[in-house]
Amino acid sequence: MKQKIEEILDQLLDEISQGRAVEDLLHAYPEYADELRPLLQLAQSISVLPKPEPDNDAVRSVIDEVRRSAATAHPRKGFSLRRFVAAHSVLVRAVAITALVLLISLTTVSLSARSLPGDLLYPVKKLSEGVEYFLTLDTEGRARLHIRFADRRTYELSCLIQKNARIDQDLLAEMLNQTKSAIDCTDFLDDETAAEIADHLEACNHQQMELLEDARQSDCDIDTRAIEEAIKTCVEQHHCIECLKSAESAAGDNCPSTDARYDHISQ
Amino acid sequence: MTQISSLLLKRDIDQDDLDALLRQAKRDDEAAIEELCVYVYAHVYAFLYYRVPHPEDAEDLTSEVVLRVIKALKQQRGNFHAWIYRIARNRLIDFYRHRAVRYEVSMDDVPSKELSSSDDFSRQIMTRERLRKGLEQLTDDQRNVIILKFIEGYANQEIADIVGKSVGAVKVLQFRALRALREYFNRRDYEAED
Repeated sequence: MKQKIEEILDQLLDEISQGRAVEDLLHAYPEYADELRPLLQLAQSISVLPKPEPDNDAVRSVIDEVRRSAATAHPRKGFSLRRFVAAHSVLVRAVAITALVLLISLTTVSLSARSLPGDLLYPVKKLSEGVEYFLTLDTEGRARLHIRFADRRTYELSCLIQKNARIDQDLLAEMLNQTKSAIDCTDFLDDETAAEIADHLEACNHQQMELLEDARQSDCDIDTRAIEEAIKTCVEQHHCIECLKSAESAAGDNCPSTDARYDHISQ
Repeated sequence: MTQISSLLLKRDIDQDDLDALLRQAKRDDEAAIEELCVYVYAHVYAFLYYRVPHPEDAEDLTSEVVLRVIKALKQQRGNFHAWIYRIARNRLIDFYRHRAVRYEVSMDDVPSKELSSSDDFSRQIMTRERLRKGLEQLTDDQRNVIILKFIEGYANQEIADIVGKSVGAVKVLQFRALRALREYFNRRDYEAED
C-alpha cells in the first residue's frame, strides 16, 4: 500500500532529528522529494531557533507572588468539611453513593415488609428473605428463619382471607413448606435447642390450623380441596411436632418421614 | 530560595518525576510548588513566546498562567500538560480580546533583512518575528502542533494527548502546517522581490 505523504514526512523528521541528512533521506522517496524538501528544511530551520528561555527574574517574581498568595491565604483552623471534601472527593463520592444505595435499599426493604402477594414490593420482600437465608449459615439460625417465614406467610394468608381476596395456592404451599423445613432442621440440633424450636413450631402450627379453619368457612377465592389438603398436612405436622417434643420419640421412630408427608403439597 | 537556573535545566523531567512533583505540590509542599512553578513557567513561556508580539507579553501572560495553575492545582485531574496549555490558550484569547490586537500580516512589520527571494529554507534566516508572523497564518491546532513539536520538542503521542487528537491527526496537522508556512514564506518573499 502506498504510504501517505504525512506519514513519510513524520518519519523523515524523526530521522533528521537523529542526525540524518535531508538529501540522503529523500533518495528513498524521489516522487515526493520536491514537495518534502522545503518542508523538511523549514522544520529544521524552526527546530534550530534558540529555545525561548524565560528570564530568571521573571520566574523569581512569580515564585514570590505564589509565596505571598500562600501567606495571605486563610490559615487553617481545625477540621473543615469543605477542605476535606475537596481533598478526598473520590472517597467522599464513593461513600455518599454507597450510603445512598444502602438508604434506598433499606427503605425499600422496610416498606416491603408489610406487602402482600400481588403487591409491587412483594418481590423485594421475598428477595430480602432469600438474602437473609443465604447469609445465615448455621442450622439453628436457619430453623428460626423458616419459622419466621412460615409466620409471615400465615400473616399474609390471614390478610388475604380478611379481604376475601383470591388466595394463591403457592402461598399456602410455601407456608407449610417453611414449617416442614424448620422441622427438618431439628434433626441436626441438640435436644435442648430442638425442644425450643419445637415449642415455636407448635405455636406456628396452631395458628396455621386456626387460619385454615377460618379459610374453609370464609368466602375467599380458593379451591376448597386445596384447603382440605392443607389442613390434613397441618395435622400431620402437628403430630410430628408432638413427636419432637416427647423424649421417647426423639429418635424419630414413631414419626413418619416429613418428605413423604409433604409430597402432595409441594406442588 | 530555589536555584532557578538549575531547575530550568530540568524542564524535561520524566512523567514519573512529574507525577511525584505534582503529588507533593498538591500536599502544599513549598519546595515542590516552587519547582513546579519553574517547570510550568518554562513550558508555558515557550508555548506563548511565538504567539504574542513581544517577549514581555509572553512573560506577563506566563506569570498569570503559572499563578492560575498553582491556585487551581488541587482540582487538577487528568493530563497535566493538556491542562496547563488549555489555561495558557484561554489566557491568550483574553489577551488578544482585551488588547484588540489583530491577526493581520503587514509587510511593513517585517524587517527588511529577513526578506529573501530564496526558496531554500536552510539558508533563510528564521527569526522569532518571521516565525511568529508565519504562525499567525495557521489554524490554532496547526500552530499548537508546530510549537509543541519543533519548539517544545514533544513526541507525537504527547502532542496528541495535549491537543486531544489522534497521532494520525497530529501528523496531518504537522504536514498541513509546514506546507501552509512554506507557502506563506514563498508568497512574502515573492512580494518582497516585486
